[in-house]
This record gives sequence, C-alpha cells and structure tokens, in this order.
Amino acid sequence: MPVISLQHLSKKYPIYHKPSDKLKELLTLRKRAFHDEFWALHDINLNIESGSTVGIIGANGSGKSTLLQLVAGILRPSLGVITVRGKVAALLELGAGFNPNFTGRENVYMNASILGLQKAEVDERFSEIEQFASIGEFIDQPVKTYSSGMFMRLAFAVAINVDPEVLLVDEALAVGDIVFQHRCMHRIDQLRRAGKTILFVSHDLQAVTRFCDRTVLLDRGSLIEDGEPYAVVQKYLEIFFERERRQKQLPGDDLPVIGQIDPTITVVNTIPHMDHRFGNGRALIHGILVLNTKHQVLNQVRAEDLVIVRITARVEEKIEYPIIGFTLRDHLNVEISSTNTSYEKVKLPPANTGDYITVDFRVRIPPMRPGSYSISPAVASGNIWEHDICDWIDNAYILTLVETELVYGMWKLEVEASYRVTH
Amino acid sequence: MTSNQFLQISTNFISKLIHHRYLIWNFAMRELKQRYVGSFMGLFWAVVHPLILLVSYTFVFSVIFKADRRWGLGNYPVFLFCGILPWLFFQDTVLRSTNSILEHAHLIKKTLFPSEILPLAILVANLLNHAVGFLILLGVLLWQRTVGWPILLLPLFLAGLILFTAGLSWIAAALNVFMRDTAQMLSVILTFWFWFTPIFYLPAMVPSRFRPWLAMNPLTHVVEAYRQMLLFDRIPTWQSAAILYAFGASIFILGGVFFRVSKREFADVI
Repeated sequence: MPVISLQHLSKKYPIYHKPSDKLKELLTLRKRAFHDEFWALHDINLNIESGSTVGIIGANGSGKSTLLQLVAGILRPSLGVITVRGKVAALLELGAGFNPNFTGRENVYMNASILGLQKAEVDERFSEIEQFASIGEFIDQPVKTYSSGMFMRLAFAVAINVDPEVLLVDEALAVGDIVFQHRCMHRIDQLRRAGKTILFVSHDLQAVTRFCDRTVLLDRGSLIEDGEPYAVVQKYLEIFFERERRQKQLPGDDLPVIGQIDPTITVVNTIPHMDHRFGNGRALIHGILVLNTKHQVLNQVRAEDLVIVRITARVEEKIEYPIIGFTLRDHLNVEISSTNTSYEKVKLPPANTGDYITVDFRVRIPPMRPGSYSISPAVASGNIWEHDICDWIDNAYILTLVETELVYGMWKLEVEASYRVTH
Repeated sequence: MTSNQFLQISTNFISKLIHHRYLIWNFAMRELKQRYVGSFMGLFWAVVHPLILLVSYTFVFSVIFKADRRWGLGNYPVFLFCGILPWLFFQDTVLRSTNSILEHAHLIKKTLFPSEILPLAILVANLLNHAVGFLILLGVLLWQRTVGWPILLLPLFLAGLILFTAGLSWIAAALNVFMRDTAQMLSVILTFWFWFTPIFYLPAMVPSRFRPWLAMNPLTHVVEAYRQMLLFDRIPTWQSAAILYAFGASIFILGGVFFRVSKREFADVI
C-alpha cells in the first residue's frame, strides 16, 4: 500500500490583473470570473511506496515546491486527491519559527513543538539535537548572535530529529560546512535504512542520483518522467539544454588565446562507448582516447601514471568560444572530478564549420581505489561560468585502475606517520 | 453542512486544540516574553502597567474630579478598574489576534501549522496579564475591606468572556487574511464598543430607551458581574449569565467554524 498517493492532482492559482478585479469577482459571488488561471501543477499521478526515497527534479517554476506543499497538507489541491499515511515532517524552510531574540534552547523547544512534538519528547531528544548541531555554549545565547551556519545547523538538527515516517525535504541539504553536510547525509541514510519514506526536491542532480531509488521529473507543472534516477536526470539535462539553446552565442572567457598548440596532436575518431548523449549539436564529440606518454592507447592505468586524455570535437556550426572538457566518474557514477579547457585557462580559438578541435589533457592518475572509472567528454560554447552544451557523451571511455597498493575507502591519502611512546 | 458533519468538525476542532496545548502554551509564553524581551525588568512590567493605570485613575478621578463623593459610586478608581480589567483583556486579545496569522505567514506557508492556536495563545497570554491585574485589584480591595463569597462565581463569568473573546478573535484573524483593512475597521468598532459598555458609568445612568440595547452587549454583563461580586458582594442575576453564555457559546462555535473553513485558503492568499 503506497504511503503517498496522488491522483489527478492539480493546483491552479488565479491571476488578477488589478486588485479591483478581485473585488468585482467577490461582488458577483464568484459567478463570473475576472481572472486568468495559472496551473502550477497539472494532473499528477504518483504512488510512493513505504521506505522509498524519491527525488523530484525540474527547472525553476516547474511545480516542485508546490507539490511538496500539497503533500505536506499546507496547500489544498484544486482538483484530485492526495492520501498520505503516517506522520509527516516537512523541511520546506529550515528554522521557520525561529525567533532571533530567543536562545537556541528556547527555539529548539518552540520549533520542535511546531513540528508536532510534545514537551516530554523534546526533553528526551534534546541532548541528541544539541550534539547534532554542535554549537556548544551558544545553545543558551540568543539566536541573533549565531553565524548563519550555526543557525542552519541548529534548525536542521531539530527537524531531522523529529523522527517522522514521511520526510519532505526542499533543498535543505546543502547547509553548513562539509563536516555538517556529512553528518546530515549520514542521518538521512540512517532514516532511509530505518524504512522512512523520503520525498526530496533538489537541484543537486548528483545528490539525486546518489540518494534516490526513484526520481520524477516535473516540467511546467506536468510529470513527464518517472523512473530510475540516472535515466531521469539525463532526460532532464537533455530537455534543459535543449531549451537553453540560444540564437546568440555566449561570450568567451577573459583569457588571451595562449599558444599551447602542439603539432604532434592528431585527430582521434573513435568513441568506444556511449551511454547517453545530449547537446545542441553545434559541435559533436568526434573521438576520445587515453594514451600514455609514448602515445600508446591505454585501457588500464596505475595510480601515479601520467596519461593523456585526448578529445576531438567536430564543429558543425561556427562557434566563437569553444570549450572542451571531461568528467571522471567511478563505477557507481559518482563524479570524481571534472575539468575543461576554460578551467585550465586555455582559450580555444573560434572554429568554423567542419573544423576539428583536438585537445590533450595531461593527467596524473590519483591514488584512487582500484576499479573501473569512466570518462564523459563534452564540448560546449561560452565561458567558464555560463555555457551551452553542444555535445555530451556519458561514459564514453572506460578505464580500469589496477591495484598497486591497498586503498581503503575511495582514495589513498598522502600520509606520513610518526610516533613516540611516553611513560 | 449536515448537523452530523457539523458535530464531527466541531469535536475534531476541539480535540485538536487540546492536543496542541503544549504548542499553545509555548506561543503564549513567547507572546509574553516578546513584550518584555530585552527589557531590564522583564515580566515586572506586567505588574507596573495596571498599577500605573490605577494610580492615574485615582489622581484624575478622586483628586481632580472628586468623583467619589460627587457620583456616589464609592471609590471611583476601583469601580473603574473593575470594569476596565475584563475589557482590556477582551480588547487586547481581539486586536492582537487580528494580525496574528499574517505575522506568522512563514509558518503557515512552510510548515503544517495549526494556525487556530495563534489567537488562543494570545488569549492565554492576556489571561495571565489579566490575572496580574486582578490580583492587584484584589489586594487593594482587601486592604480596604473583606470580599465576600460571591467572588467564587467569577470564573464562571470569566469563562463566558473567554468563549466570546476566542470566537471573535478567530473571526478577526481569519477576516484580516482576506481583507487587510479588518484591523482598521476593528479599532473603530472597539472604540465605539468601549464607550457603549458601562465601564465609566453605571447601567442605571443610561436613559431607559437605550437600556435594552446595552443588555444586548455581552461585555455589559461581564463588567456588571465583576462589580457586583467584587464591590458589592452580590450574586449577579442568572439572566446576565444566560445572555453572556448565549453570546459566548454561539460566537465561539461560529468563530471556530469560520476559522476552520477559511483556514484552507490561508496558504494560498498570504
């Protein structure tokens, strides 16, 4: 039996052009409409099983937050039915109800009671909350003396310790410093394993693919894709970049065209693997290879090897400011690192239709855990901050990192250990 | 709405209020502390306010106007204070409640928040203020003379006033979400209402053709009851209790239902 069930769910907002229109409508007892309608959500059908983690993605204004507010029971649907079983906690805004003039302790009690806890329950969890937020003696200081990080940490600590059956999260995960983010992720993982149902809206596609069992894509109020997170995220990127395709090209980086030209570079024309491809097609990835310094093709590498990642793009339509780059991922599709010409401060010259641009990236393989890694090449136009993807191929080249030494975790740290025994 | 549905909504509503008693208490405490937060004397101000009021009345009415002798109402400042205490409780609660929903817009939009408790929290806070004022009044009375047993009936009238005030506060709070001029309108109405309640005068001083109208004012009966019990050791008439409860219960139910129904639209309108 689904925990959350949405049937033909729609939400409309009336748009009044003048305040007097609203009055006119009231005076006619709503028999005549003086407004336009805006459908924030349109005919959404969704069943969410107990214990699953579902991500909601979509561009700004696609209705993600409205959907969460509806599930939380804050808004009422204009049409359709929502059924939610179990206690719901909504993290739509961290620290809603925090008053800066009161101490952290007072605000914890207040906030927890807003989230539905009784006093005894807060007493019971207080030390856990305090520990989780780790703001030390500030807990008895007015919240207005807190840094924004401390504020967020305390707010998150309260919300996450309410222990709901259904947790609704709106972009609230990216708070605090790295240590705290780790703690949050850990806690959410715990909740997942405890069989809680989590529904979360995010722009962080990485987090969505990592955390969710399932992802739905909203576009202008409609549910257009529902399924395995990776596939849905790819679909989203595709739609998003398609829409972003511009007539006018974006400006380039503020860099001199540096003569890093290497005449020994040759065009490569093989794409060994292709999981998924998207882009506006102004340029296409033509080939990708990984070579050693003697220009021999590599499929296996060792930590600390110096390798060349060579990518060729063919220009289909004149590009003023091309950028070529790649992303390195591990076998779980977790992004390890990305780079591109712009980021490496190499400005490529404008390219005409039919030109081939080939770039060599010389990379020192880091001491990562042995296993298989993939490279996804891309070509774009614009600058480091803002660019249109012309072509992007997921996991085009697979590399195996062979074991040279034991690596615990993802990475071998560079460590020197020393010791002393005292009596 | 059938009567069955009506009953169900009402019992749900009441049981939810009881369920949220801790939240109500929290908001009431916050409401009180907020008035005095950061101030040096803190809650002591709650005592100072009514005390200053009483002292000023004494100066103006007993010393300047010499009203005690002239109007034959005994100690006029105490007479006045008796009437003004329940009135202030009523007026402050209704006025403060009017903006309470809009003040907590972020809670209503971002959390599943039982907004009906906001006016009640203000009511509870004002009730505590009222208690402080009442203790001062009682102190002054006991200093002069003894107070008889009819005072034990006071909670009965206070409860009626609470019902009436809560209902009206809900209506004001909900209306203000849709019509922001409710607060303005209310302050005009309350000014009129204040002078139309026998606080400065006795109902007996009112020309007889206005008296039936005065009897239709539930506040009249509260003020009168307070005076009967505190100043004259008399039991108020059962009619005044009946009128008060008729108004109190119906406004409480009406306000509760009105709030419940309009609450659904709050998150959309705010």
